[in-house]
Amino acid sequence: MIALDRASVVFNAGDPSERRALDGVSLTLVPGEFVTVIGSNGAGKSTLLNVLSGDVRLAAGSVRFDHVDVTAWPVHRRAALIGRVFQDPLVGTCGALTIEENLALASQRGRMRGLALASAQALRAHLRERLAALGLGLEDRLDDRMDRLSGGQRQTVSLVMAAVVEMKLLLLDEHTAALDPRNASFVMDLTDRIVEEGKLTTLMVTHSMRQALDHGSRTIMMHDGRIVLDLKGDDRRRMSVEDLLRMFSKVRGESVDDDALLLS
Amino acid sequence: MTFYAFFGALEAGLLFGIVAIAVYLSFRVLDFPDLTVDGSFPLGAAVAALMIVSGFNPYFATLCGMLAAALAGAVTGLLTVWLGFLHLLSGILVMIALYSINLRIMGQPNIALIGERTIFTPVEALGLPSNLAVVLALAVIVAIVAAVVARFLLSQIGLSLRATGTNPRMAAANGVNVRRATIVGLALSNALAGLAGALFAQAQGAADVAMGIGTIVIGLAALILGESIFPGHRVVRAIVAVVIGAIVYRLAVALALNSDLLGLKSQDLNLITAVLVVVALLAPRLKGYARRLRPMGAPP
Amino acid sequence: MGKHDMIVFSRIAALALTIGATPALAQDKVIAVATFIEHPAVQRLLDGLRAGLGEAGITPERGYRFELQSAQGSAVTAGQIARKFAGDRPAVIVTAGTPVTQPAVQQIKDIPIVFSGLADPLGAKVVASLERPGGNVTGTSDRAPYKPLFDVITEIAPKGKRIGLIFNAGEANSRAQIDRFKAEAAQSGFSFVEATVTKASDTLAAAQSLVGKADVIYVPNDGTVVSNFEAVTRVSLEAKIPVFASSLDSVPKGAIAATGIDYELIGRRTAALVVRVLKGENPGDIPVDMPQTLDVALNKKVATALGVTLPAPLVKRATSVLE
Repeated sequence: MIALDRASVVFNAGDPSERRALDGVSLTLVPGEFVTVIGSNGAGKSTLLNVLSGDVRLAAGSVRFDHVDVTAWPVHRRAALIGRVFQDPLVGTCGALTIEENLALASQRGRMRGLALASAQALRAHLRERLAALGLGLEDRLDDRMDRLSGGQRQTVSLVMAAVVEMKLLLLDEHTAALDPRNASFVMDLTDRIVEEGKLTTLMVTHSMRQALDHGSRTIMMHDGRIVLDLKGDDRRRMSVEDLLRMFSKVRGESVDDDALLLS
Repeated sequence: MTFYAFFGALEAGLLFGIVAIAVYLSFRVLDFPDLTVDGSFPLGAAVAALMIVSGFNPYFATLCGMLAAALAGAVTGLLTVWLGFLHLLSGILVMIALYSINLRIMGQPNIALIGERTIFTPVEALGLPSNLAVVLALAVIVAIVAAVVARFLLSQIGLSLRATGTNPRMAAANGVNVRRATIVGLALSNALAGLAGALFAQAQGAADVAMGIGTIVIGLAALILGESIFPGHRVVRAIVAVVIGAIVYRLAVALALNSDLLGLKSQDLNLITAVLVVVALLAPRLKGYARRLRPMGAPP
Repeated sequence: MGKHDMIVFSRIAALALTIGATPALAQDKVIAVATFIEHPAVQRLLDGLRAGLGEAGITPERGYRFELQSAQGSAVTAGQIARKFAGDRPAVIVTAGTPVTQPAVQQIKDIPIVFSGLADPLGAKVVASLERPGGNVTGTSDRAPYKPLFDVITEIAPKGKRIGLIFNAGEANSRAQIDRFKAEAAQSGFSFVEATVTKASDTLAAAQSLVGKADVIYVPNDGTVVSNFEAVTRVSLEAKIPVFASSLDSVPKGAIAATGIDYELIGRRTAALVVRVLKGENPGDIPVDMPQTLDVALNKKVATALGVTLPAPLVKRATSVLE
């Protein structure tokens, strides 16, 4: 169970440009829950994700994973509990290392790294299997440098890297936003498959209302650093994109001008 | 060039091959431009020399030289990751401090090792001429160092170091303590520089407080030369390449030393070396150019 | 490693070895000289060496060749030069500077080596003893006794018993010089006051601290203080304290007197040793040549300003007198 309790994040504290990116947000995820997060730019979705991963420090509040307080844990320590796919495929992978080396690095996440060879035979065979299951032919390119792959292929490998080790939370940070529609769709299908197979607790930030409703079991909407909408179950099933937009403006008290939200 | 001069170049090339591996570790693997080696090279020499003239076993003395140099590298790392100093600045600060520290350790500007028992004494006792004996011993040492470093970089810890240098954000997201990796990497890199310094002092006959000046330049020249001759990112290939780069560089110096036959003077040494290195770097390109000039259809 | 790599590798090796096959040139007897850095003192040394050799008949006409290599301040190049000389088989090797002498002595046992102007041959372990160096090595040193300087001090300032010492304690060379100075002065009834600096800008304060505590001031061959010698001269003129130095260049800068090494003379004395070795003498049996005389330089202008008269016998034996 993932619990965020009255979390607040302040950027540029004390400056004239001080901003409350997150304002006393509380959120609980039960194991296996797949939550999508939407909101306009600056709403706090990315901050929410970064608070969970440890990239951003809390000004107030706490983060708990299964009742363990991880608020003070740095990114590399929390990595033992978290799998993450970044929006930019270049950020989430090491271009100069091979596919196998990237996967080998990921498979040691949360474990003590020692002097054993990073790419042992057994691991190589296992990785080849996992890549073969994707049907992209990547299993024959284990020794290719990562920067030889296309954005879509890199993101696919990122997803496999995130899922190669057990985790308590999968964080997806607009991970299809930089891909073309065909690749985006492939990656989303793969995401659904991986989440279902592993029964992974997942939090996906997305720019697209369509994507937010089509995937997962719960959707929250953020605005001004607060959660303004939390949909699950039948309420969510009955919701359409247009309905969602109308609810959004009602809650915000203003009309929505955001093209990105309208068109997706 | 006589065979003596050739072996002299091999000797210098193997010694600075170790420095080249050290520079490869910091500049390439960790992406950390580390200038500490100008201070950690003579630090290794100073500690080893002091211990040798005090009667310690030369192997133990060399090891202590390495450990002292590793400590210097760790300090550079700490200045950068904990105090947030720019990596170049951290290296320079430690390098400058080491100049005074090395003087204090030695107590005088020069500790002579002529006639002392060194790491090379057993090999020389085999009856080989001294230049061959030293080259043989160094070849073995460099082969061991290269193998150990390559194996280390291919290990899980080594992979985490390589990831730290390529993409620290991704490394952290995969559980790598990037700060610790940086300090470990710099300690290892400078330990190698200290080893090279200790070996150099024993081959040369003395540890001198000014012997470190220019170490980073030689290391970088070897690194770049090696990568141009044998490009490629895989670990084993890269390490072999930089050692060969160091040897080629010192061969160029040996050639330049003989150029007085051409009427050039001894003060032209550095210029001639630079020209030779440029020629070495251009040779493969010129070959490609010549190939393109051949008329179509002509046999290669 | 691919096939292409092996081709490149074998090309480099072949190139190096082909060049390596160059036979040793001619029947000339070579005098191989190695220096560490370019420096005016080294230049004068080489001038004296060449002059001395020429006068002794060691000339190209008689079949001798002079080869000069400079390590350009690099210790590793110094090592490569030593290895090169070992292969070239010259008739004799001459070195200038401890960093080129040590690798030569370490590596070469069968060619005579003559070092020139070495400050501390014993400490550098290139000789077993100064009287009988042993092995294949001998040479000249530039370490002069301080007695000639003490004589000059006593002649110019007979009542001056308290010597103020200005130097950079962080420089090992300076510390060594001062310690030897004090040791050699032990019997002469002098007492000392030390004023140390860490950087050139401290010199003025250090000199001022000696006013009232010292009758005369001595400045050793210390780069830090010498670079700001004007500060010492200023205090010297204001407080009427004569300044003595071990570098002849200090006299035009305001020292009343200095005793110093004539490097050209050392070069000539080195040439004399080379000639003996070329004639077949065993270098190990030739004692290290220590400087016996020092040049004395006087500054009459400063003397007048300080109200001091330079004794006539001193002026007569001085090597140079600045009016």
